[in-house]
Amino acid sequence: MPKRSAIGVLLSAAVILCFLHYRDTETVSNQIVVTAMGIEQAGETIALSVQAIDSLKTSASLSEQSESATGLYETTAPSVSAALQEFLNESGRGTYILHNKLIVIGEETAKSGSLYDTLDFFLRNLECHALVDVVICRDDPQSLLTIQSENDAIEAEYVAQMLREGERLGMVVPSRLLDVQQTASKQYDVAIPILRVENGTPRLDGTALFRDGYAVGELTADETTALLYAADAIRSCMHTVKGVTFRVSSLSTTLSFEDGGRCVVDIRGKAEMRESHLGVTRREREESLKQLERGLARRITDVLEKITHDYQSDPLALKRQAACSKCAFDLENADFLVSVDLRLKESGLMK
Amino acid sequence: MKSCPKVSHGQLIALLFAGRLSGCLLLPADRLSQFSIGDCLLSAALNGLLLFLLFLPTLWLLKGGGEGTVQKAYAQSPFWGKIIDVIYAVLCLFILLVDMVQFSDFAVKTMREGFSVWLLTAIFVVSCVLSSRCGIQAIARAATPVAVFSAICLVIFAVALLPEMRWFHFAPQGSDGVVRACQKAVEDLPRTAEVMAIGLLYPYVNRSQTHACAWFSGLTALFSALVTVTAVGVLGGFVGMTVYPFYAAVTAAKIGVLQRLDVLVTAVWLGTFFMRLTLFVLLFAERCRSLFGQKTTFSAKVMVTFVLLAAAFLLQNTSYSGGWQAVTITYWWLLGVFCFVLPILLRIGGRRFAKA
Repeated sequence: MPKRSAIGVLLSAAVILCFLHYRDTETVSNQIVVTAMGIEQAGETIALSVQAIDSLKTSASLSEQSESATGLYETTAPSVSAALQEFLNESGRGTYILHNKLIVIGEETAKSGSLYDTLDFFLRNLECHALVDVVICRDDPQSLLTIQSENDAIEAEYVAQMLREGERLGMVVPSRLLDVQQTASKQYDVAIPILRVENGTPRLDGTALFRDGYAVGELTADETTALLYAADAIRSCMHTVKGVTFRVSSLSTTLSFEDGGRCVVDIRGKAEMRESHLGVTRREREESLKQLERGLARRITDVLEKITHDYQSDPLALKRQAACSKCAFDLENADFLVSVDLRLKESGLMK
Repeated sequence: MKSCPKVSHGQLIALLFAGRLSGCLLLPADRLSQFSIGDCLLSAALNGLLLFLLFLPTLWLLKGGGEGTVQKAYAQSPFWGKIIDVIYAVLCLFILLVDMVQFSDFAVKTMREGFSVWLLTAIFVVSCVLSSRCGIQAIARAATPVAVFSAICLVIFAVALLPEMRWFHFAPQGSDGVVRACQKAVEDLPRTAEVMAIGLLYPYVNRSQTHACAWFSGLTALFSALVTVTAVGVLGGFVGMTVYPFYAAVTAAKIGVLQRLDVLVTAVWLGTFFMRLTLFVLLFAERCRSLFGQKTTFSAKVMVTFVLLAAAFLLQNTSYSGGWQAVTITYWWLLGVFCFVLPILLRIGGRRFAKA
């Protein structure tokens, strides 16, 4: 065989071997494809609920799947990895977690121990995608994993999509495995959305706050929106004031720190009038907008004070940002000055 | 050596740069979490500058002639030449061994459980050894697309990860930032083993290598900065808790339908590492040929294949990051010897030889 052909064959073999054995290309025919995982501490053991697709039972194309493509499996073991191995007894198949979309932590588990200990398996191993969503379920994680969706053959996608939209509309804090990783060194804290199941449907139910990985408190849905304003994490949000509904968008939040330790939060954006009662004058609209600005500033100040004074949690990395600005900043005695400046933007054809 | 095949400046840059990129991807995490953006950029710039300064003594020694370091030594004295030849052969073998251990360690950590790193290593080493038989021109030609593809991929990774980067993940700009940046710049120097081999590559390049070395140093600085800023910006403090932070950061990247880009990192790593390994196998074989004659080249390549496989197999479970300290110290000594002591000694020897 000519020299170059031999090299070509060998190199191709190396590349094929490498990619065939790459984590992402494992054969799934004899495994169940995990789409969501629920973790609940049960004494000394972990109760692991797994929502998974049995590839042998589903249609060739999931779009042709008329019913749910997933099933729920449960197992108990001392750790997550042991539970995944124990899974073989439950289903007769191995687990394939590269397509996992959601990690659900039971409320009791989230409150009882360190978040980083609970998620250590996922932080340590790269099989699970860094952009997998992490949520807390008010009830047993199984209740969230067994919801039925008419639109999605894979229910975890329904929840993941709901979280994405919630993030966009300022209702949910972004909480992916990467966000947990980023806070694992405890330079700042993570916040995780809470979901509850009502009549078989998932509902957003606020945000859990953590300090050094331990749950310290919660924020309501309104407070979550205020936190997201301060975090510059909202693309658009609806507010109704005195019968006028504004769509706030093009937001930009600037955090700065003064020498005395005060944090100045400056929020700017556009407010588009989407709906109002007939006969509302421009002057009244502007008055409503002023009221919205004042209301938002007050709500954001209250939330920031609650997070820092009451819980000493730091999901906005305020200490880190203050240090970068070379300012002293004490969470317990933090002082906030929030200003909101929204520019009225006309929309539609009506005056 | 007058009739040896020549490569162009661009090909030399590509050859050196492709090899260096494999080291960039395996960025060490030590102390990175304490770095500010300024420290990252300053450290990369200083690293590039120091690299170029390390090239200068050898370039100054070889200026004007078409001979390499070993040929210069042979011209002064055959005995002296043989010693230098042996030293360079040992250097190439040492670099290959360290790289092989690094290769197996990275493969073990990134591939699926149960994956035969042994088999991959065997195929890879045999491919490199066979490729080295194609000669420097073929290797240099292959290095150009590999270097360009890898550089484009690194830029794509950085752009794809921009939404995940947070400016406050970087440490505040401290008063000791310059000291930290200098320390990292010096610590990163041993990762560029190519600088020690420039004396061996000199005869293969058709003109003065100063421009090529400057370009290589600049590109190394630029991409070191890119990789460091990406890893720290995405992972923040978590960067210090990972073995290969850049790889860990890229696992969070996705572009459109491509949900995971870490497979692309593996492709870049394989390509760049292949170029580096092939180059040093070729240089090692050349030294053996020079020492023991043409007939021993094949034996030398068989020997290097077995040595590399043995190293990868026996040291597979040795954590590269843990042993990096010892390797770094050894590399510093080698940098001192090959970048300063040897060129100066040869220059002094050359003057005495000319007077005699």
